[in-house]
Amino acid sequence: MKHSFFDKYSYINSPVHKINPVLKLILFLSIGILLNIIPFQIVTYILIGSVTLVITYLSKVPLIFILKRTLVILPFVFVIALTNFFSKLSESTVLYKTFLNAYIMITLLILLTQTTKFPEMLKSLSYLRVPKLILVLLSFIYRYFFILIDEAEKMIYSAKIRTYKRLKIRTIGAMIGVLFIKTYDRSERVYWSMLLRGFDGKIK
Amino acid sequence: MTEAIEVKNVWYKYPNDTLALDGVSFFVNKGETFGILGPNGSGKTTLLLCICGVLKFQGEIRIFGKKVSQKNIYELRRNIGFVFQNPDDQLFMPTVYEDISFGPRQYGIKENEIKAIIEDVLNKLGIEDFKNKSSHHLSFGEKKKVCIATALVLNPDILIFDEPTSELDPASRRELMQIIISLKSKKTILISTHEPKIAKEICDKIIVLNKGKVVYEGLPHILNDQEFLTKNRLA
Repeated sequence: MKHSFFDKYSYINSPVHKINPVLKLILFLSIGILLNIIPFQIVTYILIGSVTLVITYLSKVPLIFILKRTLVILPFVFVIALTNFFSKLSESTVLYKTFLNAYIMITLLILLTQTTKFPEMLKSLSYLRVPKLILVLLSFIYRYFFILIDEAEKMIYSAKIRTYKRLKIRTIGAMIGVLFIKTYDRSERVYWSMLLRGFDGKIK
Repeated sequence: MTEAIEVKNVWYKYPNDTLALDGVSFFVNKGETFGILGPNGSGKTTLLLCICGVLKFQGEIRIFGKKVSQKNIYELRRNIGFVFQNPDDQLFMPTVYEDISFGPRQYGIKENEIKAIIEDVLNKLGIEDFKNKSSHHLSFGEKKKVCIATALVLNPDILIFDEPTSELDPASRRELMQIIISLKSKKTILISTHEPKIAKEICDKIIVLNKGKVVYEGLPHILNDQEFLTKNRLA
């Protein structure tokens, strides 16, 4: 089975895809810092929103795809915005600012991951001196997420084949348990593989 | 003839007290292609992992005369290339290049040297195009070839293949066998398999394991004996 959950559109060809990944990453981080520093002005958000729309159009990543992805994270953003608002009740703009900042950054992050291949992203992070251990952990997550999804899908298919009813909560719970055991087993074998290729506790 | 691997009275118990290896002894000469045969659960993979010092065993294992111990295992492993049965256990980095370069980096080889070695290994295996691909975009057979590249990159004297042909389609299987045959004259090869056909095709010597015990050691001609195969669950 082949999946592309993280970077579905990162292999297409567009002007945004051709931009140096390090530059994209620096721009992304700069916008994040800028949004937090400048005072709340709706004009700023309209401007950044418009730029984001133009970048999305140029990147050929479907707008509906980005909107759908942001929708998944929207409730969390809202909760964070509310928490921030209740901690500073005197300022009503805090609610809007937190919400808009988070929403714009998530949209840009989705755009960044969809226009940059994950290995290139890791290289850029390495160029920006992100610790090697974090990069290796990220690469492991990227590599094994697909395998985990494969395993889960196979288990779901296997269960569905053996029943015509909807899967019970108990069955799903048992499947999650088995998935944990399988993951543990695999982690052990991956560790062996690392040992056999010279791993001595330190990533060099 | 120099002994590449010497296994003397090796015992291994799983944490649940199941005996996986029951006094296993044999030796492999340098340059030999040695087969470890046995049905599923006979202890083949466990034995291979003991040889590499991954599992703690009782008994004695020597690699080119040096006793395998926790003190020297890091250096001994440099001379062993291991190809796992399931490539997804072996390929853990985001791209093929990063995966193959993991071993050389761990042993402190310089980046420009690593680049040259990887180019060479990829060319030899005919997989130059995979270099920048992600492992999860490759087929099972392609992943297997990448696994062999990760094992060959440090130019080890000993190559270990754990069930190399399992789950492969006939074409990939043929390709993989050709790769192993091409390596025969240059390396000491250890292959675990439950397929007598493979052992007959490439092995100079074999042992047959059943329930953790060596039930046969010698030439592979025994694998023509149907009664022997049936008795040891190999046919």
